[in-house]
Amino acid sequence: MAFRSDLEALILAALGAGPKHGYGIVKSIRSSSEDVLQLGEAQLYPVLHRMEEAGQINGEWVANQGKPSRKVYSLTGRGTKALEAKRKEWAEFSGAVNKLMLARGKA
Amino acid sequence: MSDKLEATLSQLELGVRRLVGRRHATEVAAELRDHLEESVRDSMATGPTREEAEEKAVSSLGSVDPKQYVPADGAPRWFDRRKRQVIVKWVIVLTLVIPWILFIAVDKSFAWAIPGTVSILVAIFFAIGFYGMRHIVLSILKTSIVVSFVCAVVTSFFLVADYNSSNPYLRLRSDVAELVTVKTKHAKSRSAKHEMTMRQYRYYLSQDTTPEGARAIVQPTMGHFEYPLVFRDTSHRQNWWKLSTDDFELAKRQWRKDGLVLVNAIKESESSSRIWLNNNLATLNQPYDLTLKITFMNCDTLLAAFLIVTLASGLLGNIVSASVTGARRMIDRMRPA
Repeated sequence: MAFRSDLEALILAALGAGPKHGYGIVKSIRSSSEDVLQLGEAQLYPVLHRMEEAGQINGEWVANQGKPSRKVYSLTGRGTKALEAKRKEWAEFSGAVNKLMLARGKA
Repeated sequence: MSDKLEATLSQLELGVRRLVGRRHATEVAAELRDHLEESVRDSMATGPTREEAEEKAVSSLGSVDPKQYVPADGAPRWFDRRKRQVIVKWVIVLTLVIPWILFIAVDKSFAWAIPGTVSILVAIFFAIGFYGMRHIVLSILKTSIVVSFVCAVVTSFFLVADYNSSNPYLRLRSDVAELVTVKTKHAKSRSAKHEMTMRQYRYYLSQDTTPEGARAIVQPTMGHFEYPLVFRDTSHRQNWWKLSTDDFELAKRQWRKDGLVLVNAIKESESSSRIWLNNNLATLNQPYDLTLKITFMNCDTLLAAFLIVTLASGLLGNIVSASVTGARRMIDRMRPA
C-alpha cells in the first residue's frame, strides 16, 4: 500500500490548519474526524519527534499565561511539501479504493 | 494529578533522562504533563470524575518506553549517551592515572607532571565538550574520587614500601628528588657549589661534562643512591672511581643522618682507580674531597596536597550535585498543577 505513513499524514493535515500543541493535534484529529480517529499520547509523541527530526515540523516552547510553557508544533517548508504530497497520494489511493469498493455489480 | 499518573510521568522522565539528559527529559515530561492535564480536564467535562479521567489518561500512555519519547534534538546520533558517558569517564580516568603510573613505574621523574597536567586539561575540555560545565561538576568530579583512591593506594604502597623496606638504597626518596645540589670541594682550592634540577643533572651526566667550576661530580648509578657510587674527576674524565662497599654504607648512613656525604676519593677508591690514583698522585698531589648533598622535595606533602584537592573537589561535586537535584525537585513540587 502506498499510503503507509497515515499517522504522519494526519498530523501534517492537523498542523496544516495552523500551529498546535500536542493535545491540540489530538483534539483537531478527533474533531475533524467526528471522533472516528482517536490518537493516544503513546502514539503521538514518538511520531512527532520523528517528524521533527526529519525536519517536517518544528517544535517551539511558547509561554503560556499563568501556566508552564507548552511546546507548539508548526509545519516547516519541508512539512508543507510533504502534506501536499500526502494529500495527492491519498486522493489517488482513496479514489482507487472507492472505485473498487463502491462499484456494485460490475465485477 | 494523581500519584499514579505522576509516578508514570516520573518513570518516563527518568528513562528519557538516562538516554538524553536532564534538560530533554524535563521538556518531555512537561509536554506530556500539559497534554494529560488538558486531556483530564476535557474528559471530566463529559462526566467522569477526576480519578476516572486520570485512570484513563494513565492507560492512554500505554507501556511507557522512554526511547519513544526521546526528542529529535536530543536523540542519540552515533551512539547513545550512556555509552558516551562510559567512554568519556574512562578517557578521563586513564588520562588522570596514566601520568602517575608513568611517573611511578617508568621514568620516576616529575617531568611527567607536564604531560600529566596537559592530559588532565585535555580530559576536562573533552568532557566539557560532551556534557557542559554542569556535568563536570556533577559527574566528572565524582570520578575524581575513584582516581584519588587509586592514586592513594598506589602511592601509599610505594611510600609504605619505602619506609618499611629493608632496601638500603631509599629508591623512592632518591627517585623523586627534584632538586639536586652537587657540592664539590677541592681540599686546597676554591670550593664550588652547584645547584641544579634533576633534569639538568642528568643532562650534564649525559653530556659527559660538569658545570663550570666543578672539580668532580657524583653520579648515583641508574639515578639511585646505591652502590656502586661512582664519581669522576673532571680533569680526567676517562677515570671513574668507585667507593668500596663499606664506605658506601658509611656514606649512606651519613647521608641518612644529615643529607650530606663526604667522600675521600683517594683513600676509598677501588683497585683500578687506586692504580690510576697512585700513578697520578704526583699530579694531584693532594687529597681529593668530595661533598655530595642531595636536597629532597617533600614528596609526601605534594601527594597529600594532590589527594586532598581531588577528594575535596569530588566531595564538593557531590554536594553541589545533591543541592542542585534537591532544588530542582523542590521547584517542580512548587510548580502549580
